[in-house]
Amino acid sequence: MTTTAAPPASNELAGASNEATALIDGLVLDSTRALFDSYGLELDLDGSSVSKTLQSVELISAIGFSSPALSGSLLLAIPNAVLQQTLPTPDANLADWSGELANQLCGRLKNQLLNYEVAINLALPVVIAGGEFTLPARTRRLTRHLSFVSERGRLFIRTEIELGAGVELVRQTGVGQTAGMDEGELLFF
Amino acid sequence: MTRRVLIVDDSATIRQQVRAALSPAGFEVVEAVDGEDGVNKIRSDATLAAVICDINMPKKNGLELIEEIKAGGPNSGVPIVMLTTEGQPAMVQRAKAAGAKGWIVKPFKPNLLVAALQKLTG
Repeated sequence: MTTTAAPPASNELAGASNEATALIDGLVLDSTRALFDSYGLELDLDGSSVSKTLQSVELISAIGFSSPALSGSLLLAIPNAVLQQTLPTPDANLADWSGELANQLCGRLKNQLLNYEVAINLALPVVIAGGEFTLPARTRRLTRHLSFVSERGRLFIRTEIELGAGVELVRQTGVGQTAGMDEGELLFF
Repeated sequence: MTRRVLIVDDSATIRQQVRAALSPAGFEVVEAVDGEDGVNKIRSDATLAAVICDINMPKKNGLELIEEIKAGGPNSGVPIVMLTTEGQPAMVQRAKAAGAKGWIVKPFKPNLLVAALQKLTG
């Protein structure tokens, strides 16, 4: 992350937003695929409309995150049939597991963002059960929808991001990088 | 002798998953649903062989839990392993400084969790 004292000019901000959009899409895409793959569900990107996916959704989980450099929220809309396929224990509660999946997804996103020297703080997941969902209007500068298809149905993820003034997401490499631990990794002290 | 392990996590699914991993390996698993519940159960149960603890939880997070337990009082010596989606080096270092014995990033492999608990309680 690099910052400047003054906010960038509008054309710079537009450029940065395009880069940030592509970056966030890539991070969410990679994190989502890897997470669901670890629970035995292969996902492919899908061009379905959000409203079509929402028709089959009974649970929506949302988590907010914040830091001086970047804040926003992640929303996971996933049908019960897809959730069932990922359960780590057969008698798990679907709503609880939906919230935990969103939590683990945000954790992966957080760990990816550490490579850009951005350390976000995660809120606790909120799970909403119901039907015939519609999404509220966007509240952040960057609002992204990624739809996925699996053998058991579709799911989608909405990510809303607001970058701090002058913040650019620059991947850090080499000595001194701040990358976090990988999923499944065990560290003894 | 059965070794008694406390899992502190606000997700019932994760608690079930930990129980399913550890019970066949001979551990008795007891549960706490948030950080405050975790502190109370650690303080009141002298038979605990180890604690597995999440970070992001209601009422009291896992880092606050370990700092409170390791500051002294009943069962302050119980080994604690963090089990969390977090992998931020600053958080790992804070847990280590407070006295945590290990850190596992979710999703976890059941055999890895069993091996870690056997090492800590063996």
